[in-house]
Amino acid sequence: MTPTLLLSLLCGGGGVAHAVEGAEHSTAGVQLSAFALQTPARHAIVPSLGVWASYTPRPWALTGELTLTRRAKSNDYYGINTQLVRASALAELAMGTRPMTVHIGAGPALTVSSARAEWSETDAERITRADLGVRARVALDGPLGERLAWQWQVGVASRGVYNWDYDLGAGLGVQW
Amino acid sequence: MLLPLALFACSPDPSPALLLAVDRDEDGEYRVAPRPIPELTDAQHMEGALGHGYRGGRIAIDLFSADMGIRYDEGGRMDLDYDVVDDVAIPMDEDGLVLWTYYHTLSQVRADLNGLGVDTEPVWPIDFAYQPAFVGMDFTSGENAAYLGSGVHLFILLPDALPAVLPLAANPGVIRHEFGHALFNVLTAGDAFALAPYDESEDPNVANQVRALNEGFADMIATLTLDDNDFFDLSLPSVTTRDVAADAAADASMYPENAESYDPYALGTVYASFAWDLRALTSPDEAVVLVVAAVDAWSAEAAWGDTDRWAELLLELAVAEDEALQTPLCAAFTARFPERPTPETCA
Repeated sequence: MTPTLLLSLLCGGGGVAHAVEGAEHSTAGVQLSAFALQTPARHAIVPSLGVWASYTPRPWALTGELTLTRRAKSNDYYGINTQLVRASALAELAMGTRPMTVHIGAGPALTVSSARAEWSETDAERITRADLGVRARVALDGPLGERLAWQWQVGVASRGVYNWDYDLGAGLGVQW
Repeated sequence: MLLPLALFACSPDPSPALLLAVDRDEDGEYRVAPRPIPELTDAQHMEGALGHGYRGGRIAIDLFSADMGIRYDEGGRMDLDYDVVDDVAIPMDEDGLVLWTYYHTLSQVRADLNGLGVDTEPVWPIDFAYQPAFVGMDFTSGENAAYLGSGVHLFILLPDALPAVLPLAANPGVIRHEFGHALFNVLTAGDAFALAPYDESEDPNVANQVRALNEGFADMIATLTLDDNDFFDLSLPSVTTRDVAADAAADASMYPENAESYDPYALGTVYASFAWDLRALTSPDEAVVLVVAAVDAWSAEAAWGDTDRWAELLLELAVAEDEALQTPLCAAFTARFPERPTPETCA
C-alpha cells in the first residue's frame, strides 16, 4: 500500500478529493525536530521547535521557517546555555498530487545564537551573534481532512561557511 | 544562484590575551578562570606551537600492511565560537572551554617541566583529534582522553560520558596524565613517532608490564605537577583506587600473567604512590625530576620485563641526591613492594 493511498484512506475521501482538485494550496503549522547542532568539534543532538508556512502554486512553492533550539550544559565548575533561532525562506519545486506533495527547496537562512556562560557565582557573560547561511530541505506534506495538514521533512542549514546543522522533523498544521 | 555565505559576525581576535580554562588555583581548588595560552596562535581553529586540533577524522588500522600500523586520517578544521570581552575569550559552547583547557594544560605542564630542566621539546608538536571515529579499535565513550603512540603520536579527546561532572577531557590532571604517556614514549622509544622496543617484544607480558609503569608514570606527571594526589575525583568521584596517597602495595596478582585480561592501573598506582612517597619527603618538583631521571636510567638498562627495577633506580637516584632520604625511602619501598628483595641501596 503506498503512503498516498494509506493517507487517502485515513483522511477520508471528501477532504482529499477537495484538495486534489486545487492547483495551489497553503499550509502553516508547528513542527518538532531532532536537530543535529554542529558544535566546534562535533554534532550534538538536541530537540527543536519550529513553525512553518508554505504557499504552493504547483510546481513551485515558497516556504518560510522559524526554528528554535537550545543546548545547555552545567556542572560544579561552569554552565553554558545556548539558544539558537533560525529564520529561513526557501524557493521550492513542488511535485505530486495534493494527498502528498514533495517539496525540494533551498534558500537563505539567518541564525541568531545567544550563549550565556557562567563560571563562578559572580562571573557570567552573554554573547550573541548572527550568522547568514543557506538552508535546503526535502519535505512531504499532505492534508488531514479538510482543514488540517501534516508535514515531514529532512533538512540542512549552515551558519556561516563551516558550521552545518541537520534536522529531521514532523509537524501538524492547517491548510487552506 | 543562492550563495549568501557571508558571515555577519566579525571573526574574534585569534590570539586573545586570556582565555577561559579549568585550572587548579594556588589555594588547591579547581575553577574556571582566565588564563594565557601563549602557544595557541589561533584560538578559533585550535592551532599553535603545541599542535593542531581536528574535529572528527578516523583512526584506522592498516590491516593489509606488514606491521598492521595505526594511522589517523585527519578530520576537519576546528571552528570555535567565542567572543572577547575585556580581553578574555569567552566560549559560546562547552567544547571551546574543554579545548582551551586542554591546550592551557599542555602549555602549563610544558613550562613547569622545562623550568625544572626536564626537556619536553621532543614531544612537541602533538596534534589532537576531537571525537574521531574508530575502526577496529577498543575505545568507548567512557574513555575521554587518550594518547595514541605506536608511531601515530596523537592525543584523542572524546565527549563527556557523565554529563553532571567535569568532563575528563577538561580535567587538568587527565590531560597531564595523557601528556605523561607521550613523554614516556619519548623517553623510552627515543623519538615521538618511534615504535617502542617493548611493543615489539614477542612476550605480551613484557608489553603489559611496561603498560603498568607507563600508566604509573602518567599518574606521576599528573599528581606531581599538579601537586594533587587524586585528580580523578573531579570527574570520576566513584573511582577511589587511583589515589596515590593511599596504601597501595604490589602483590603477585598485579603482575601480568594473562595477556588477554591485564589491568595495568593497579600496579601503576603502586609506582605512582612510591613517587608520591618521595614527594612527601622532598617536594613535588624534586620528585618529578627524579621520576623522569629514573625512567631514563631504566630505559638505558632496557629492563623492559622488570618494571620494579624503575623503583629501585628512583631509590638510588634519590639517595644519591640526599643521603638523609635513605631510611624513610627504603621503608616506603618495603611497604610498596613487600615481595621485592631489599635493594642494594637499602642494604
